[in-house]
Amino acid sequence: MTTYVLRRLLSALPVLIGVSVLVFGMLHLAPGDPARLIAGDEAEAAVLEEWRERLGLNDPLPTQYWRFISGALRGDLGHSLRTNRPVAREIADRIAPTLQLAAAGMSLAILLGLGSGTIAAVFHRRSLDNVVMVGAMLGVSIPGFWFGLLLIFLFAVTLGWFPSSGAATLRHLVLPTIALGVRAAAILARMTRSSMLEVIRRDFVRTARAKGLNERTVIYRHVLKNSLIPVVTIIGLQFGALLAGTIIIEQVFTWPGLGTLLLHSLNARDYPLVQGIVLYIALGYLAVNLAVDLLYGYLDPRIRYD
Amino acid sequence: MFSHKMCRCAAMFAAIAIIAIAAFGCASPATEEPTPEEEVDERRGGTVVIGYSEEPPTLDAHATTAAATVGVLDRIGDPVLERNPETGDFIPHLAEEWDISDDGKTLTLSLREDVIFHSGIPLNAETLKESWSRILEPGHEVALGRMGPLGELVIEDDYTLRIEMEEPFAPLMNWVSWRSWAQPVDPEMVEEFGDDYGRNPGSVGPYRFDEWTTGQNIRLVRNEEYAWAPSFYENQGAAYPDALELRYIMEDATRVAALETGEIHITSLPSTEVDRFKDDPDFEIFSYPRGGVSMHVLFNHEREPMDDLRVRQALSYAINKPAIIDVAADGRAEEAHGPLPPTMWGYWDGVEQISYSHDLERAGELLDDAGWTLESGNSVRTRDGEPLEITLYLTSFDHWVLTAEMLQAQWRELGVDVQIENYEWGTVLEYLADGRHHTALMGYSTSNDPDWLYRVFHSSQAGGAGINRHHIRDDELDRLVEKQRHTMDPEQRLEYAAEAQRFVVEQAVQAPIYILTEYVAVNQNVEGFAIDHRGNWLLHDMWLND
Repeated sequence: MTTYVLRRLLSALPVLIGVSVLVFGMLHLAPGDPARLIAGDEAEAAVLEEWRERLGLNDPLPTQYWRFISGALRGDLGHSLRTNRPVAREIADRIAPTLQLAAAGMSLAILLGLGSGTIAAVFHRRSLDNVVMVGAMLGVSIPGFWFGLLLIFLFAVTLGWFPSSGAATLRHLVLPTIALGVRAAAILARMTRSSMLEVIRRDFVRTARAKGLNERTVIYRHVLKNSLIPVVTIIGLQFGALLAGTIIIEQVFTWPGLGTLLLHSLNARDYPLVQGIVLYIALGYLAVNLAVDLLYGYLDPRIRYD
Repeated sequence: MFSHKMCRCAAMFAAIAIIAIAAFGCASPATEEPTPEEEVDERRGGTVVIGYSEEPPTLDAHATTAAATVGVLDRIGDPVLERNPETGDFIPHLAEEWDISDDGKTLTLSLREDVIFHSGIPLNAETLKESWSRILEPGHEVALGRMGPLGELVIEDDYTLRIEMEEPFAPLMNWVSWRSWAQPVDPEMVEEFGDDYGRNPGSVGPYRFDEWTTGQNIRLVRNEEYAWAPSFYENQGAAYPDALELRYIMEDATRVAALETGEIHITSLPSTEVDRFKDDPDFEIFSYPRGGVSMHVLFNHEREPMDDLRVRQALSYAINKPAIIDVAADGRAEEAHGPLPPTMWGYWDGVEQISYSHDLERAGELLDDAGWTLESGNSVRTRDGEPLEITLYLTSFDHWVLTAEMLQAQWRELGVDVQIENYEWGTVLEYLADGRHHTALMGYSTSNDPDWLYRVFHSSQAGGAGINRHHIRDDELDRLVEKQRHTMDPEQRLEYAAEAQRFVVEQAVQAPIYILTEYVAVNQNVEGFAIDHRGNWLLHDMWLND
């Protein structure tokens, strides 16, 4: 087990290096001059040149990359070009709200997805099944930003139940959580349903029923737990999608997380900040995938890590 | 044992009671014995919430030109000189008096003696000099660029500061009146916070910085000491609201929703939302022209055929401005006639008589005259077998793409083939500096001094050195824009600026198209909100009525 975790952690390293090269490459090959964005549209050539020199933009790309990666290894991600604050501090300011929102969204998705998926499977081919599946179809199809605006219009402007934006209290969390979690919930519901339907037909389920277990135990102990492996995989994958979703949802609800920061930094060609955020997101994604892989062993004791 | 416990409880209650009494006791002078002034003034109190779309990168006045930063600095600082909101003439503020020497090289500022910074230290010649000298430090080129050649700062006495220049520099007066870059920064807070000053700014304005929650809002609280408001405000004391909250909501739709729910009181409206709010009794809508000229066409005078006056004039005549405004700006703009906007001091209204209005026939004649003729069966004009093809550079800002497509269609009617070149902003600016374009879309909003003419038309600013993206090098134009720059007498300076504007229009150096209209929605609960005709928000008479 320990060896497995260590091996996985080691194998994450090339992935992180790959991510850093990609992000660095894409940012620097895309058109746009950060010096121009700092110094302003009306800056004179000499001022621009001075800024390029100060930001190290005149150095060859490999030198710039080395500066970035060697700094990152020492925990120094550089300074934001836009705000001139350390990148680590900018990210520290923003990471908690994003984790909070992502956790709330994921919890909602799991509760709603597993719950309604199970109901649909149990009531297979009956009207409740159809209702859940139509809902899930809608949930998958609705674009997040539009759904978010709809929620604001209904629950903030018309009914006045929740604030339209911001992040001061728990009430602020409700609408973005729904907007973010519904899509993942819909996907999980569909996955849970089909996975359970597959298991329900298995021999061991028939055996369980035949030996007189009540239906509740059959469904929860035998069917649900055995259907969870593909669902957990999807949860892991959905976490990535959820992080991507926070970029849009945070923007709609003015949630002060990494997503809005990333969008802002991209627009401002804030190279160090974008690189730092993407590295953090990649790290988070790797951690979640590792957690998912370890969960398999708990769900199916036949799976061994060696 | 039991009684011992009781004792402890009693002691605790007593302690709490004493603390509570002490606390209330401390607060009582303010609540129980208000000064007569406060008793009658129902305008005091409350927090006014203003919604903005952009969060500032920093609040360091010398480190950025971002409009979002200016929006905050305008509340926490004051300029040394002010412009009269109606006439645009200079009036006193932090400086009571000013004097320009006969040779035009020295500006002497006599400061008010009662002004103190947020940290408590006085504003005087020394602290003002310290503040302005900071602009020369590395990293502050942005503010320096706005300033031009600031000369030597000489302390004459405690409250008199002299600016000595090597040659007369008329825009200096405007610079001294800048509401953001030239406001005094609190030297003590600069010292205390160092690199973090941008998150802990201080100045001398009616509000002091309180708190910045990244990604959310900036909170400013009333400066109780404030007693130096400019003369055009009725309120000469401290601001009425207890606090201002500047809330940053990037998404237009969300910001408008927050306005409707009452979460924010004031915000600028996207033009698509204006109709919905116009007749809503809960809101008052203010409108004013955006500063500068929002949209004009640059002609590159170094490239054929744009070096031919007749071609530039023909293209100018072929532009149907009202049609473009209807399509590209939802009708929410006014026609521009010259290089400067009517709201700027120095604008010459003569441009309205001599500018080019839509006349396709005249445009055709001019091109025929220049040798570009339309052969039968062709839709594009040719000269010696060469087709009349030009490029139009732009970036995909709001309104820009539609404007370009309208221009393409209108010039096509004239028989000119237009190739639209759309690039990312930084890239476009580079290409324009290199002179790759025949024509390009451009707009500006920041400048409020006729010295803009020097910066965009003088030959020394061409070829990437500055922002003369017309690449025009003309002795007569150079002479005029230099004169306006170095003439300290306002009346005479106006004349040179007017002549330069006449030259620009007559020679069709560029083709002005429109000036966008801005809209601000204000909740009915907010009283005393005002905007001057140049778009400055005047907030010192503002109070919350709820």
